[in-house]
Amino acid sequence: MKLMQKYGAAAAALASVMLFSACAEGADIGAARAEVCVNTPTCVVVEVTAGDEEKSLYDALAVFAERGELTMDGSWSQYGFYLTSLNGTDADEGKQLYWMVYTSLEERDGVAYSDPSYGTWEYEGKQLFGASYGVSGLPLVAGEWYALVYQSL
Amino acid sequence: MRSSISPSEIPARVRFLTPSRRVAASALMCALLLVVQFVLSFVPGVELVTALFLSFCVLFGARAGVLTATAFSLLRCFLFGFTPSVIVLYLVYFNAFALFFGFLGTKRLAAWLCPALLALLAGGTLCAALVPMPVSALELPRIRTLAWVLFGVLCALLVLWAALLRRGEAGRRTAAYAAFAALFTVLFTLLDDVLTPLIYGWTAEAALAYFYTGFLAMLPQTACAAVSVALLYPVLARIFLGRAQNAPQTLDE
Repeated sequence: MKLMQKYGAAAAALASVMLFSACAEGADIGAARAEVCVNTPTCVVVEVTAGDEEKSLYDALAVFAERGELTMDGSWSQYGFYLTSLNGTDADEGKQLYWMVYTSLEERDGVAYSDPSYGTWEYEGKQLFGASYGVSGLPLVAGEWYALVYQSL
Repeated sequence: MRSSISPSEIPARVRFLTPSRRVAASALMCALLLVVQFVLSFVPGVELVTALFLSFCVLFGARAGVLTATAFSLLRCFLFGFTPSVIVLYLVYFNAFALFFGFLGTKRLAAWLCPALLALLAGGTLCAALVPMPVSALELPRIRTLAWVLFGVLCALLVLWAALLRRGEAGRRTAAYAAFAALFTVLFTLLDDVLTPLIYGWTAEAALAYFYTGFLAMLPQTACAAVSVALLYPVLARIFLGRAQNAPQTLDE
């Protein structure tokens, strides 16, 4: 029984490490390459391993959706693409629950892409800040992380 | 004949409504604003709230305007959610809007006001189109295009005013209202740029980033407000006047 518990705990630990560390096979988005590292109904984390600043996080999500790795829905607004649903979880305006966008991309060429006062979110010891833009306004920069988290405003 | 009535005469004719009729008119306008805002929320950059509410305030006066503005600002939360910064923004902006256009309705406008306002706005828009802005490279081409479109709309209004509209008081007033609508739409975004960072306690850097992303909404909305007021005000004035002619014209009646 004790051994079973030990193996069970080990398996759970392994699964958790796999969930948070092992990223899925990467996808090419233009010249960029990105990987989905967390893919749950309430959280999606993308790591960009090779950059293409003419492509956006929206382009990456569209490629992942095309490959069937995730599902997404939304509409185009004045501010760009407004993400309303990811992996079947819909934003709920009545309960003030939205898909919030966080990124490790802070400032580039004088443009502030995120700010801690918009909110912070931690992933594997890295601090990600609330994004200044929606998914279609965030360029894919090599080495940066992008998180979509379903939470209250 | 209705067509013989100059729009400059309309405000004085419609303003004197009994309190009960004022409440009824405000309730109807509030419902109309909610429907229009909700339906057009699915069409990016298009809004008719400014044209409808401006015409209502000019013709029905500041009191009816403030009543409608307050009801609209609070009731729209049931459709769009109860966000504190948006509630404060709408209450401040739409009440100021109602007071301004409510009192402006009866005033005679200086001839230089419209071209001066249009030139000022066109100058600002040209700056937005030409001056480098610290915004995402993915959004910059859209901002530049929108700025050129708005610049074109403002120049067209200026040419129209110079060539045709200044000949008649009606056209001059319509052009002036369109220019003021554009100015107020710019002020709406600027007020949001101040209120939202204050309410959420953002840093100056975050507030500045918010200001620049605001251009994405401000430019199409300003163009839409100017065009919709220029086109719809004369039509709405006749519709509202038609309704008001069936009603008592003074408080004593």
